[in-house]
Amino acid sequence: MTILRHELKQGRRMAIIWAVGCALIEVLSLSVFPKVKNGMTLINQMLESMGTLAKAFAADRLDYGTVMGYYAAEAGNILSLGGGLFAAILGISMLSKEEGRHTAEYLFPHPVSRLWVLVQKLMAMLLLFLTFSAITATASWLTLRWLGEPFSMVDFVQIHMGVYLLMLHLGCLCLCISAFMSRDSTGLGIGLSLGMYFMLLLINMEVGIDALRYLTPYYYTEAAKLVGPDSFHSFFLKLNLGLSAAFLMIGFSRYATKDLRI
Amino acid sequence: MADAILTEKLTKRYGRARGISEVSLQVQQGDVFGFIGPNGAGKSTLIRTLLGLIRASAGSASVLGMSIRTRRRDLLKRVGYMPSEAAYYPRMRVKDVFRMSARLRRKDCERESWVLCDRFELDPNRQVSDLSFGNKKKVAIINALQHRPELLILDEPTSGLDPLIQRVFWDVMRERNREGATIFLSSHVLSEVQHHCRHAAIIREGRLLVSDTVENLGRNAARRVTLRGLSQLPEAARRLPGVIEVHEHDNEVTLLYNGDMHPLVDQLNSLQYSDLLIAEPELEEIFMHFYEKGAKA
Repeated sequence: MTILRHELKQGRRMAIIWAVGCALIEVLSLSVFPKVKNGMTLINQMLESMGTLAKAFAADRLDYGTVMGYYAAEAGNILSLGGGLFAAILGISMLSKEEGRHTAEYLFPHPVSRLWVLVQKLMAMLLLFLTFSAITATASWLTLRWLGEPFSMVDFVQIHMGVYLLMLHLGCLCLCISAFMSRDSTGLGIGLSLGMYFMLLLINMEVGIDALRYLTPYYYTEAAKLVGPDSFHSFFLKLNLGLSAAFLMIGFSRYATKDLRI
Repeated sequence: MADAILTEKLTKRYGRARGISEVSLQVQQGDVFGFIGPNGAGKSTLIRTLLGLIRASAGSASVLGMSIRTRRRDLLKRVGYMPSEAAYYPRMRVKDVFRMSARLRRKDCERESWVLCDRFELDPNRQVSDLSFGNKKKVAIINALQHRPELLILDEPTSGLDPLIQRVFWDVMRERNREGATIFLSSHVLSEVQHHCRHAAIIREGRLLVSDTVENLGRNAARRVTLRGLSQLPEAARRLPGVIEVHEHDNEVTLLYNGDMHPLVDQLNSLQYSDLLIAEPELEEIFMHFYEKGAKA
């Protein structure tokens, strides 16, 4: 597990910075909830005037007057977007950085198979996502407790599971792309993540492109769909887990045979 | 005893670009083998193919009797590799590089790395990112040596090292070779190959031109003929088959000759010169001969 330990060491600073950054924004947003609650009449008028734009951010489906409704809206914007970007950046450089930084010539002349390298890097990536989730969830939970408003723990856990699943899917997709790249492709990862988030906005705005629901993991992990009686949509959960597994297999088959560019 | 390295028509193409072409090479165990060629000739491509970093397009190769295709992990346990330009992970100290390497090999070789650090005058507590090119080179050397491999594959090991450390390097190589290790090194410093290697091969534009003992390469039929007190070589002598190259300057004529000596001596008899020297050429001249003419030995 040398590579796993090494990757955790290399990635922990980035994971902590991203998580603390997102957690701070989340805490600040939550801390203004009492004022939001008191000004609901004004906020509802404002959301109505926003029309389709409010729909894009699921404001038409969430009750901002309840702490969980407000949290789902904030988590959807901050944690999903922040977590999605973090996952894409981490995943897309996971394999290609060895070639881009010329460390492949140090790592691969050791008696380790490329499959074992990929497995350990995948495990490290998932653990770093867990670190991100643990920090952001703890900060949010403490803030919700501090607000003193009653909230559903089931909804809270589902929202954070959604963020983790989103990171998992984006991470696997980007890890797969990383197997085909030989240089730093952070820009591509960021673009991909933002593009998929934009797809969610289009779906919510009901522009009539249904196929987008199958293309973006933001759709079924959206916090607005995970509060109240609803839970993860079984079909989309299976689809995304299946796609993630397929991405990993494609990534490995490419990585096992590729010529390392040093 | 299996060969340390054996390649048969090993070929690597990068699309239409040339890598190496039909390289057949044999390196015996216990040998010190120099692989000579200028930058871009294919030295690193051959080495990276042997290590499995890139896949051969055609041909076959084995290292220590193990196929590079099917037993890559097994053979890498017994090989130490030093790249020509080593790069390490950020925020790592020198000792972390050796520790990670030892863990990846599942072999406790920390004590050996300390001994080698001492010999190469390298501080193991320094950050790798702060090291000079030469010191990074030392890290790469120690990393290749610390697990006491049976085969050392070194890509331009001495470039960037100061003369004192080069001496230490060759001392260590001699010791390891006496203990049974095979040393395969690529270089474009011909003098070091001539002084330290028993066998050598010359590669040119991806093709192996010659592979022989260093002694035989020097003993090649070619001779360096120096005539002092003569400003110009007559046309008749110049046209002799076997005259490879002629240099005329400062009342001295130097020519590289690869042919029957009698016609040359007959020609020289008719000339007025003050001194005649016929010697085996330096490896450098052999190399330049092969390289410029592209002839096969």
